[in-house]
Amino acid sequence: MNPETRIGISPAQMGAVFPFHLACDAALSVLQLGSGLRKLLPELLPGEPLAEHFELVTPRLPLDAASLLQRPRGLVVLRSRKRDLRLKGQLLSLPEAADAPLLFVLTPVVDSLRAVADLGLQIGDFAAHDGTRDLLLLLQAQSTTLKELHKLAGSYAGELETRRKVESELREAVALAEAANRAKAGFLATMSHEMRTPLNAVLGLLGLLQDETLRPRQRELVGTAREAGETLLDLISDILDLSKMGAGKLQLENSAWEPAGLLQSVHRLLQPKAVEKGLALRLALPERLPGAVLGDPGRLRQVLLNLAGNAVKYTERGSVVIGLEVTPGDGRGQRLRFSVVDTGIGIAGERQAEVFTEFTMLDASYARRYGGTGLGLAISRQLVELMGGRIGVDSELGQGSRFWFEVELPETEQPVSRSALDLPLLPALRPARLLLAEDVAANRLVARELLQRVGHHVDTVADGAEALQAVTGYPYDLVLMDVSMPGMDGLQATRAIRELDGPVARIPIVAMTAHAMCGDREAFLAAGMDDYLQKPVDRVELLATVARWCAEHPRGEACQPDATTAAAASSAEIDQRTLEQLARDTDPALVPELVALFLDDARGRVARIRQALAATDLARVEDEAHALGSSAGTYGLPGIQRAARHCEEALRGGDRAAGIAAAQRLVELADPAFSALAARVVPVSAA
Amino acid sequence: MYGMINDAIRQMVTERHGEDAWEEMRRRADADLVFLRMAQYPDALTYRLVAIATEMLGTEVDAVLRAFGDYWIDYADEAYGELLAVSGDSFVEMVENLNDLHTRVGQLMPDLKPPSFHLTEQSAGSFRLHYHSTRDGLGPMVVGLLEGLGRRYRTAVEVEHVVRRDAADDHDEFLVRYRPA
Repeated sequence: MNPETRIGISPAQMGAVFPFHLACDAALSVLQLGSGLRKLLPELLPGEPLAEHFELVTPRLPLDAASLLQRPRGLVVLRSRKRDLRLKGQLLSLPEAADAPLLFVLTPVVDSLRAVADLGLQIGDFAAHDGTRDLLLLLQAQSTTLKELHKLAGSYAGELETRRKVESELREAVALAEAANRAKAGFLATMSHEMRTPLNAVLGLLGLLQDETLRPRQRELVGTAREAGETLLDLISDILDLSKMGAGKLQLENSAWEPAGLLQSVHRLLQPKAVEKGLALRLALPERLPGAVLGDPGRLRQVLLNLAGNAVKYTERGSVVIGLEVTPGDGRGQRLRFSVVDTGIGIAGERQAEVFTEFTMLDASYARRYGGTGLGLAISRQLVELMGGRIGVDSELGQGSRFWFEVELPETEQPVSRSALDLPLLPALRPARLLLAEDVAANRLVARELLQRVGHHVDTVADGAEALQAVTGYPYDLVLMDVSMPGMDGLQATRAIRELDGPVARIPIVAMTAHAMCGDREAFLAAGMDDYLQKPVDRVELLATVARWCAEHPRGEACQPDATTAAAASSAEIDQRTLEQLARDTDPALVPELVALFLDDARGRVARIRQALAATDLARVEDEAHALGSSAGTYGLPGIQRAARHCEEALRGGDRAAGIAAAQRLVELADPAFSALAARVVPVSAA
Repeated sequence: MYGMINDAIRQMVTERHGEDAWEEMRRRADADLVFLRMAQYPDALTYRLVAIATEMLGTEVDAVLRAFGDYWIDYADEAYGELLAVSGDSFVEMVENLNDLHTRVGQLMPDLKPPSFHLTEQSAGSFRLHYHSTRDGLGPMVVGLLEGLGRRYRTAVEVEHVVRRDAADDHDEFLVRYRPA
């Protein structure tokens, strides 16, 4: 038996292995078909002509036996004429089988599981060896993965959308918060203005009250009130600084200045307090002092003054040393390391980091004892960090503290501008004619008293329109102009003055304002103002500014110092304590100048009293005696003050004889007393 | 274990116990936010999820696995509905197809380590199912799986876990009695 014929396959077995097989005779009539095919095409029965049910898609040949037998190899694809169905497979030619020479071994073409279901088939209808089964699973895996991908893409898109929405809401919220913060900063600045203006007046008036003759108890009360007021003023300034920094509004200056001058100015300011407490306050300067550097001297002085001020405040005995070290910086500048070393109680290690945070005071009892807001170090830290520097403290409880900060600043060849830091360089003070425009009576009074006390002549007006009128009527050396006044304000008045004809249009005008936010300065300068002073006006700053502008713009008619020199010192009574008080109230460096001014003025008055006595012009005598008496007390000459008062009171009371006698005594006392005072005070230029 | 298993656990916990319960499980198991169905994940993660669910529900591991096996049919119906639709018209046909299905899927997913199922003692209303797996302790899941299939094909099914895989026996056996609705 031929081995090739040994495997006989029954139609049922054939159907199990090839469920979609189809056998035809030579005339292409169907002889036998598999169970799967019967399921797909129930009307296809044995005996039916194949061509009636199918067409040949591949190969492209007519569906007849002759054509098919020429191409027995390769893929065969049949398409059903009765339904949407294609079958693929291969053709087997069986020439030895007499009745069935052609066998199609086929399987349905499907591209998805859905197509299988649509054909009414199950996976089990495909033969186990048929790769279609695997294809179907692969298709399922692909479809599942695609669905998953779509789902993920959808949720990604959703997330993006959500994020966009949240980001835009966030931006709105930030904008709102920033607007609120700006409003808050504006409110704080306004409030600080509103609070500082009356407080300034209160402090000024208390200062004037201290100059009066008071009983010890009254003097103590007034002193306490003034200290409390100054503490309050410091607090308001601190809060304003913090609010400006919080609002990002604090802008640093960049001007040329000399570190040595800054250290000396801080030393000078704290010296009276240190002396009062019996502390040694020393400067430790490097051998080679740095030249001019670029930076914000005002803010650096604020930091150094805070550290040194704290040291003086919290040290009971011993010393405070303010030091400076200079090393080359990382960049082109120099690193300035300022330090303040005290012999105070020190700070325990774990508390050292806290002292630079807001509202921290090491011990609440300090607050009761010394006052203070706890804001100073926080402000110092922020200022130093704003300058790109560092601040810190090294300390041990009971061993004193070393507070330090360092900043890197570029050196400069620029000339150092004069400022309040450079008091020893002040041009010689001389009396000037000043116009003060200020609507608040108390402020007017304080500023006028301050200026008159050093010998300036001050006229006052209450608004811009009056100021405009006044400058056209009198050749002033300088106008001090409050910015906010009713009616015509300071800016409007300045613009109007600048538009006048003649030299008066060039008169120096200094703005006085409690507007503390940045940008205001530019507005003042744009309006034609030359300079500005921040309220509450600091005495030294006020006097320095007036002196500067009057020196730079001298007018011919100002009084010249009397050249007569003093006679030998006499036994004239000089009150040293009053002179010390004057030094504390102004600045020790200013006292000789102030005294010189006083003496010029006083000698003039004495001369005029002599003339008036000769002419029996007693009204004139009374006026001059009054003026002389007021200032003599301030400059430590109580004898002159008493004599002047006697004269003034007698004349006012109508007692002409007593008045003339008192005036003569006043004239006699005057020269020796003036000479003694001049000898007591050594001028700065000679020191 | 393929991501589809972990994802089915996630879906089951979320549906039945809420997003927060799943989030807690996920954090405790240190699992990803999203599972990719066709990606491979460590078996240990799946066992960890099952252990955490057991603890959170205060029940037995077997109960959790059985519930999950039952739920798996719903999940597969949703995710692989087209495949199930052509994998058998009846409960028995489907069970008979399980082995073929897993074997072929195993070819497509190289690391699947698919289980094998085969039937013996088939009669009109019952058969014995032999379950071989390389993984430990998943027999109870097969009980749930058979019950879930019964539900899907509206067939009352009673499953008895007659042999548990242990040192003596290398596979699980189930005696399944069924009655088409």
